[in-house]
Amino acid sequence: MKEKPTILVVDDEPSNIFLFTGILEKEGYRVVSASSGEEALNLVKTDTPDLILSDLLMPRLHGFNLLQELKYNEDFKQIPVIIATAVYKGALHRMEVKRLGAEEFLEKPVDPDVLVETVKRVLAPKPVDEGDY
Amino acid sequence: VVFAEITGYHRLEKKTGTEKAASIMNACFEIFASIVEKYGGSIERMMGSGLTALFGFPAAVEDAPAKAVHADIEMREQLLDFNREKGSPLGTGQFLYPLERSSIILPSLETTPGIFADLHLVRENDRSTWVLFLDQTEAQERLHSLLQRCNDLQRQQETTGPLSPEPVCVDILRQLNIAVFQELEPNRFAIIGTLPSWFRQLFEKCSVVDPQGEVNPVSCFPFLEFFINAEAREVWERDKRGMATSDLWIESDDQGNEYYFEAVAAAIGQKNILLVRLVNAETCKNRVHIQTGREKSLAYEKVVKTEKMLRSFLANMSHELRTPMNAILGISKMLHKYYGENLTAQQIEGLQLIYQSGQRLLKLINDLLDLSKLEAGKMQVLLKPAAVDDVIGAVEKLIAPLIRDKEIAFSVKKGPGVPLRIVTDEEKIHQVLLNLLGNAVKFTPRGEIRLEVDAREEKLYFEVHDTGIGISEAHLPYIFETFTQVDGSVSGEYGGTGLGLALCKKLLSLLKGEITARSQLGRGSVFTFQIPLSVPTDPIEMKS
Repeated sequence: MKEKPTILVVDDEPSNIFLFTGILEKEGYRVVSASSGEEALNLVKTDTPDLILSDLLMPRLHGFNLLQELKYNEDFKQIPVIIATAVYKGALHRMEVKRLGAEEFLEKPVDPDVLVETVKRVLAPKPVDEGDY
Repeated sequence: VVFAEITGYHRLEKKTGTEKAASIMNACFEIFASIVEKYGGSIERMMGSGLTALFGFPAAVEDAPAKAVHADIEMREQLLDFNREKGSPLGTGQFLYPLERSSIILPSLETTPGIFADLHLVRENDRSTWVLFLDQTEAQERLHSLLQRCNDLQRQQETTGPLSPEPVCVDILRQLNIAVFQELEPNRFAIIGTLPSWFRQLFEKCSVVDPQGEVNPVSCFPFLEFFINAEAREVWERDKRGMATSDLWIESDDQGNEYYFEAVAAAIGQKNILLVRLVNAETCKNRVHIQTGREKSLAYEKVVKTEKMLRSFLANMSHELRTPMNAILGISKMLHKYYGENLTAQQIEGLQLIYQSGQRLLKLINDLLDLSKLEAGKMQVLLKPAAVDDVIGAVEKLIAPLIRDKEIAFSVKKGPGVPLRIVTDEEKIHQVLLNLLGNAVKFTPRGEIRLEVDAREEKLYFEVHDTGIGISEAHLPYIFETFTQVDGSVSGEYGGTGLGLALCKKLLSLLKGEITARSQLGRGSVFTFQIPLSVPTDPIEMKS
């Protein structure tokens, strides 16, 4: 792993990018951002991140589709993805994104402590791969 | 292996009466089972409100819709699990939810008025899902003969080789007079199976289908242009588990006879499917919006847009209201957390106030959203085994910081009969407990708050005792009403919005639970709620 892991933040809401970038940079990560799924896909090709933190409801490629594109791609399917969405009580969304291969699902508003804890956990080397929701 | 669901019992019952409805459902089930069996399947689970009729508890009919919804979610979960096991990144089963829109095919049985049966079939790998949806029906033998014909047809086809993508499904669709198209790319559609006879008769200019079996539906059905590009596209690309139904339109033949048509768009597996069907004229009598074919009207677009707007209103509101909360709560906490040491005490207090006010606003938004979801019948219930200790532990953890600054002793008392696990919607129980305990803390300046959990008669009881200010006899009967129905002085006196308890009551009724309260002014209150140890959705074995 690189010295400073890179996290790609994908969100169409500038305030969310500000927040997530602010927290993650303070926690010692390198953060790049994209404001749509499409932009994220392009960015992944040139600057492959160690982790992606993505919104769901975005213009130009919904988070579901972004996940699909990534998980179908041999080069990118290993990148862990955390989905953070403002969908309220999205139990079904949670199942859906997990089924599509996301590592974690967070509901916005995301507590900064929870975000940091989740990112650390996802980036940590995995002992057992058994995380059925 | 087949998951089967029969719904539509309610409408049937309304039409025919309880006894007859039950016998019709039963007959349909048998036909259904025999078809499944013929294809070498077995029914693993039966689900849906039809069960109440089939398995003889008509007294519980009132509960049927809620049960069906539970079952539906559970089934969907199982399908998702199944797909995950198989490692297929995109599975099927998505369209099974939500229930009220679960029928993707809406056939009318030729010219016989009064019989409608919707049948879905999806087969992924070796597991199938069948959903039979019944509407008003007076002659089950009609249904029998139809399904029988599908059956015979399938047998014939077995000798000539299967049709893609799903032979049985295609046959049934063809029998039901439905033209099936699969979108290959925008405005290029492949014809699936064989087109029904009406297609050639009425859509002359499309009847010369190109050799690849492709067609451009917009040129065949100009009326559908808006539908395909807006409503259908939405289903195919975004809301993959939903379906969209177009409005009716009329086509006339050379003799001037009028025929009604309707289109349905659904995503089946990863395929964009468009179904066009000839609608029974009888069905149309109850339908309001009928436009003439080849004549797109602005009124039509407006109706579609309004319906769509209403449908997505809740989802959008929820998203739009909560999005700024992420910045308000997140950034105020971030600044405190990472820059706190460079801030003055007053600045930190300011940040804390922004954060706390934000939390209050969020709670209010969530309560309002929950209530409107409940009112609209859109609240999802997710039943799972839940450990009682986890439920209690989770609320204890959240209550601890609330009483830290108060002279309140908090304790939990668990009765000996409490089981390890119950089957319920854990999140909703959590929400109710949190509301009740939150209230207890709010209205108890000092003293004691006690949570008692006990089980008796297949029910789990939760009691929240406090030694707070209590509720007067006059107000007690109204505390579970929504805020609109409460005398303003009540909400004023109690300093709350009056949403919490109303929400608790509604959430519990979804889980077949009940809530009551007793109180003495100045002495304290006791809120008691009970839920069944298991909301009944157990699999019911098929009779062989």
